[in-house]
Amino acid sequence: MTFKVTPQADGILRVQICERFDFSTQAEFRTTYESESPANSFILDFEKTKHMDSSALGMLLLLREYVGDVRKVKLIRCSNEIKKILEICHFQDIFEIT
Amino acid sequence: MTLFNRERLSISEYDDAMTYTISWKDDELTDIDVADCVGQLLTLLNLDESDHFRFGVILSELLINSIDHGLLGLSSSLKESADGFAEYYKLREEKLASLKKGQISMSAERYDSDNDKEEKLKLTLVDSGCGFDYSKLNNDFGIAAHSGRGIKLVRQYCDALTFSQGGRRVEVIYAINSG
Repeated sequence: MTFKVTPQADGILRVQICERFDFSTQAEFRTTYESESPANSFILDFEKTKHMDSSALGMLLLLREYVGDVRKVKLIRCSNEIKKILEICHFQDIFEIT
Repeated sequence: MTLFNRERLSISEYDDAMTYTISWKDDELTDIDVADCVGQLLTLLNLDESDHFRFGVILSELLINSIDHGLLGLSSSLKESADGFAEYYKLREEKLASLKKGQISMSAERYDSDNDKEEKLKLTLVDSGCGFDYSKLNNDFGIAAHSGRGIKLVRQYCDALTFSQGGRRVEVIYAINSG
């Protein structure tokens, strides 16, 4: 599994994001969240992520559309470079990023 | 002077500049692995962590653009919905597998700039594809837009980004260690 899902508490899922979060993982990322109910909140853990591309940013937007509420997607343990990418694209306005 | 030449990769030295070139032609493109090629080039360039990350983003975004939009003629407008997004990558796989003719050359030159005494990288990517009207590149789009982010990242990280030859050639100047 490229994206390991761990239930945290009621309705909260923690998803481990892979080392290279890019276009080649798009189908698997979608399958991962679509096999869970959109009523869940998603905590995406970027601890292992060393590369991210613009397609991955598009994938995050699709997850946000899936759950229908921005407050239900959090991006955590992002490296400084990952944070920088998210900031360039103003994702701090639509996601909680730490 | 050519120092090294192995399959698709060549390394040459001229004055104090080192140039690393990877090129692909016709059926070599059908199994092109963007992550692997970018990784190889980055290893040769031996950059520190931040430059490695940022130049890696530039290389991947521009190589993917050359393949997807240049050679395969895919349109990002497909990516507007989850189904369209998946459709885009399904089409990409099919078109790439059946690609008969095409060329891409990706070249990174590491040199000392005479002007500002900085060490720089010049990346040049040329493809034999359909090109595009770069005067219509949209830099001002909404947060939730479904395309344009790749070029936005590249622009943010580099000193200069120049398209030419009808959009088939792109050149980037990147300052090493600029933080």
